[in-house]
Amino acid sequence: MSQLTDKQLDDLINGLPEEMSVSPNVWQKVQGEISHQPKPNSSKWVPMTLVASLLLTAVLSWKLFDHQSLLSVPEHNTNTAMLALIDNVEQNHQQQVSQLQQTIKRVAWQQVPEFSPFKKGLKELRQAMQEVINQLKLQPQDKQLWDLWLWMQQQELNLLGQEQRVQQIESI
Amino acid sequence: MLALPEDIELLDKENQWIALAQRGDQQAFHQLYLIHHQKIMALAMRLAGDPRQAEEITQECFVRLWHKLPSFKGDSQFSTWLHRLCVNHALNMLKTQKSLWARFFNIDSAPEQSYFDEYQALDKVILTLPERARWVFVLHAVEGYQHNEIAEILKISEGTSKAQYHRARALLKEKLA
Repeated sequence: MSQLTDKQLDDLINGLPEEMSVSPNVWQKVQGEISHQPKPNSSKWVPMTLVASLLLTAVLSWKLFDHQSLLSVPEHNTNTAMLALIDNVEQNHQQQVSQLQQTIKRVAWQQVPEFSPFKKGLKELRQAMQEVINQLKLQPQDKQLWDLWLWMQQQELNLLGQEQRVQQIESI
Repeated sequence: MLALPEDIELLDKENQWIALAQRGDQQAFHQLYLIHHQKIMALAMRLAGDPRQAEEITQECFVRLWHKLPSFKGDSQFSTWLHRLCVNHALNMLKTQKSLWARFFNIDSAPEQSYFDEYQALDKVILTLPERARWVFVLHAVEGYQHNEIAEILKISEGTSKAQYHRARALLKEKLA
């Protein structure tokens, strides 16, 4: 089955409905909440809210401190292991990239103009990948960043593979 | 495009309802709800990917609106201001709920397929995208936010936003083929 073109996807996006229906009880719930709460600009609640916030902050800080003191060591260890894993995956990927680049003829590679769509696309992809890696190193347990990074690695390999195939065809 | 007379009339009425609701008039606030709630639901649905959660977000956005309304000074269009308020509130709710949920259950909760029956083909597929790719896609492609704005809202780099967007498009094209 052929893949959707960008134009077809854009047409579908433009055709998306701007509105979606809501259950009738949503307004009742909104009304229920705002009826039991102060009017938007009522000032007598400000001191009470302030006191409540201070109390809540104190309790949460105490809880958080307690929680962190219990969990800080294992979490640190996990992050160290995840950072090592990131380095490992990165090294493996770079090896794959090097192998693929070696199979692309050196001369032909140099002949590809610096501003060709291929080199431009690859450069942009690599810049974005670097940003994602930096972010991942700050949040090494973020599954979605991992997914994105691995997907980008695959895109880089696909791009290099495509270029390799184009050069093979051109050399025939 | 020139605004139609009925649009101008509605905007005038809306300004009156805003002024009344700012002073605590719940009936005027209900009128504002009637005009905007379905658009907010569409936004919430696409961000949350779950109808029940989307309704909860819609509800909480209007409760928040009730409290924030006095700070609306009319510097921008009300719909734009409300939209931004709801995007921020929806994402905050989703991040909080996600982290709370994740503390107790180590799973990604996916709603049953039957919930999606009433939605269009593209919407059904959008709802299956990975969460952050979906947020970026919805904000950029559907809601018209720029990548630098999305980066600021989601606290990610612009490059990450672009990468998530392209990944989302690739996944959508694959799934819709």
